[in-house]
Amino acid sequence: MNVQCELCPKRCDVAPGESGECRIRVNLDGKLLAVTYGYPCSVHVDPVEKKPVFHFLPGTSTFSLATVGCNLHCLNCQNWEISQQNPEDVPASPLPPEDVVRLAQKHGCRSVSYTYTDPVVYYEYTLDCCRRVREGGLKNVLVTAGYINAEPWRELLREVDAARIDLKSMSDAFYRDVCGATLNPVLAALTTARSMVPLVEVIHLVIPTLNDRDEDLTQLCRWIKENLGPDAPLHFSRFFPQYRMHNLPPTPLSTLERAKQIAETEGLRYIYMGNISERESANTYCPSCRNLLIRRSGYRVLENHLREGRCPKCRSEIYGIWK
Amino acid sequence: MPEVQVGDLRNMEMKRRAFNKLLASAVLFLAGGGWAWLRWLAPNRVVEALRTHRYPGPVRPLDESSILKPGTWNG
Repeated sequence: MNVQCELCPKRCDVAPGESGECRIRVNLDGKLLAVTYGYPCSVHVDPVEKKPVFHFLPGTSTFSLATVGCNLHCLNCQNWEISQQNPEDVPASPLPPEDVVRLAQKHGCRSVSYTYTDPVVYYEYTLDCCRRVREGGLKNVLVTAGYINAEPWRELLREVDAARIDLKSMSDAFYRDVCGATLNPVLAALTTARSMVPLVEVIHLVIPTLNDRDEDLTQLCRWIKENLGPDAPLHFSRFFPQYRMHNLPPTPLSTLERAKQIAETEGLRYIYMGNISERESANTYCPSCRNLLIRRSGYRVLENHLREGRCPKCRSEIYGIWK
Repeated sequence: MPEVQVGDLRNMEMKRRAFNKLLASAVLFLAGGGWAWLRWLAPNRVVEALRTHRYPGPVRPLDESSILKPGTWNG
């Protein structure tokens, strides 16, 4: 008997013995099984800036994990060796949710991040870990493309402290052609997250010729300002040829600078550029007085002048989770 | 293309008796548990999957020393 998976908007009709598009939700004898539950393929202690999440406990370590599988199939995926693989082909280690908390605490992490692939597809593991993590006094960070149905999304967000969500384009055609997904569920996920989670940061990978026109960037920034607010941090990330997209060059630095200018013109207050070596682009400045608040180099925090989440100079409150 | 004759269309019409027969069989089907049968035939809709503890791929013990090395993956 077939099972229809209602977790994400793809609503895969899964035949017995088969898996959904994500490869890890399997129909066994009419029951849907999460076959990677408790078996992450990648576990690391990362700086939280690597996610990137810049307005969340700067300079702290986050216990990061992922299982194989993803419900998107981006042609430019940077982690395709784990996201676009079958669990049968990727080694994994047993790590039940209670051990996630224990290890995170042991390694001095203030948070646990569900990242690398997409925590949406290993939903049950993410949800159980999140609950345990909260009980253990740590925070949860979700790094996701936000391609999930409303009901499970709301259930998960109740346990999440910070969400870093991809907004890959404002074009449905882009989502269909490049990612094998659709735009509207992502926009809905973003607005829901903004209403439920203390911190939402957005990342936009700028790909030459596909989503780098002024109109594309203006539309994206305008949507973020109107729906998530001007305080939502926005990261413009540099594209490098990856996976099945080797036909395009890396994003020129000038394109990222143009994107940043557009975001400033549209009224966004915290704009960053990622995947580049240009130093100033990762610093946080006070949107009111332009005072330097956090100086970063790579994934390291060199200076943090914030005082109880406020600018020390003009006392403006800075959006984020700072303690 | 062959021309459509008026007689052909008349043959396609549903007569009152045929309509009543169809209606009665539909009512009997639903009253006789047909609705449950249809629901059984439709796929089972599931949001949360069952938590299985049987990974289908190669399993190796967690190497705690590798945890502290920065992740090679993006994000």
